[in-house]
Amino acid sequence: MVILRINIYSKFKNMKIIQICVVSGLFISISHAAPFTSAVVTTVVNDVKLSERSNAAKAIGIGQTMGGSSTLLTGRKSRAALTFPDKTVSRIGANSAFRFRSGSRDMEIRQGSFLLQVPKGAGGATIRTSTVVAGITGTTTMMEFNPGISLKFICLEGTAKLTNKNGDSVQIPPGQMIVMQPDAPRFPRPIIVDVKRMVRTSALADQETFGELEPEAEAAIDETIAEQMEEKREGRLLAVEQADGGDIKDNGRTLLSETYSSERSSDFSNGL
Amino acid sequence: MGGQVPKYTDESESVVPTVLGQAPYSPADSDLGIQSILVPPGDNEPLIFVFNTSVSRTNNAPSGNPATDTDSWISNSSMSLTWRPHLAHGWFADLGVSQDLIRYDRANALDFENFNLRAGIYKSLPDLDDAVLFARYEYQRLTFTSLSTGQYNAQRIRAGLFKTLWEMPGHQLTGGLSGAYEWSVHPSLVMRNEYAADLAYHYSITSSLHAVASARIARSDFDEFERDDWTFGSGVELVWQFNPDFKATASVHYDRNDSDAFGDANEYQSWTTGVGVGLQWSF
Repeated sequence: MVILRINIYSKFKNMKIIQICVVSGLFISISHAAPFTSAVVTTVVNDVKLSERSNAAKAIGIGQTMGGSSTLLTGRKSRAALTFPDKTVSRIGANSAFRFRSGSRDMEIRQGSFLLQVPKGAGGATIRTSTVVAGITGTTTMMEFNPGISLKFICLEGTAKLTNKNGDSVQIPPGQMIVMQPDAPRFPRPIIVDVKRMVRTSALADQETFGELEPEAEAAIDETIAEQMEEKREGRLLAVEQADGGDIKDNGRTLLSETYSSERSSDFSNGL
Repeated sequence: MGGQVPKYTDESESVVPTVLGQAPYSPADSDLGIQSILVPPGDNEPLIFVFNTSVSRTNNAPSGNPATDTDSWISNSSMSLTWRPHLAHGWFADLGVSQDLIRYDRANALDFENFNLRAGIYKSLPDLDDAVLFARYEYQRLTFTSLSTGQYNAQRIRAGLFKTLWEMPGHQLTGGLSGAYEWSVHPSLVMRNEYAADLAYHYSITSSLHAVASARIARSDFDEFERDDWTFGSGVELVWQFNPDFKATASVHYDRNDSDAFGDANEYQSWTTGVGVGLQWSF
């Protein structure tokens, strides 16, 4: 009996230890999710300005700090990158207005595009637009928001969840994308995009301009690409233009091929 | 296709890809990169029906007397049916049949019909930047105003490879190489093997307006008389995809054939310009 009691006590004690570990882990996790207070400008291409509330926008340079009361503005063919203390990286595309809310992990894109890479375990982030909110954890995403016109959201690795004003929500897995009008009442089903071609041609993913992402994020993107390549090799995924009957005999030409075919036949009759 | 962003008020609405198979264009595409849409093969309807009709003007219609260049209007109507089921491990079948009807307004021009049947396979190669390899059997039959009386028929095997050579959002340059071997031709005088190179540049001007500039050079090696022909074709086409199923086109083409055969009966060059409409249904 004594032994049994000891065992029960021991089991209880172990449970306590597990509970303590879980609570401590949660606490560590919460305490790790430090709110954004400032970010350092790490890349500036062409016309990049910082607007401080009512003050006129001023040009910004590499190494300067952006606070939560500022909005970063990029002009035509201009780009910028910000790095937060927890190594969260935000690359802002041309003609964009971007800010974050100090004391929270909220970011806001008023218009334009950006790439956001939040390291795993950093506490995630929330991206806000006027109509849609995106919640992400350790994820690399790209987004474009044109008020009243279109919204695009792509997960290069990790998963994101979008929620709109009506409470409708959608999960976006790695390698998938949402294209919609920003004020649409419901979310569409995500579509699959070719991540290899996207990353290769994206200015926001350009290593010459911005350098490499965190090795963990690069590896995760490579994994997304490898999975898509395998699906394509096996024919489980194919380019939509092939599936839709794109011409595989005449190099993608449309009516031209028909006309050409006729002319080639007339060549025959000329030579007959 | 044009590329349209749906409102999603109706469950049946979905993203309409652009003609290059990309997500609808938006201002930040150069920042985001090319958004090529991938689909599981089962997501799309397997049978594709295409109907095109065009009216063109040419400065050199084919006629009984090849020495004469005859201006003429051409009406060209074509129908095709294609089926491309997935076979296994990324190999697809390519089965299709098409019929063209070509009519000229000049009495001495040769109206004709062009029937094509093909059966082959193709595979996209992701490790070679999505190059597409294809091989197929082709049967072609030409008739002159009488579908029942064949004046020319040929059986050939054609194989080739084409791939995207360069691309950025809204732009795409593709190239292809192919070879065709004929083994049964009537009349045997025109039996030949063909080696061709294709180049096409696609430019999406807007989400619904698309331009294609293309060029093709081919060498035909005839069995009879050791005859060699070089054929060059180039053209510019403007495509307006005013509806996901319908399009309108305007085009200008230049074609030229140089032959080393005796005399110039096999040499010609022609300019053709015209407008057309087309529809495509999948079911």
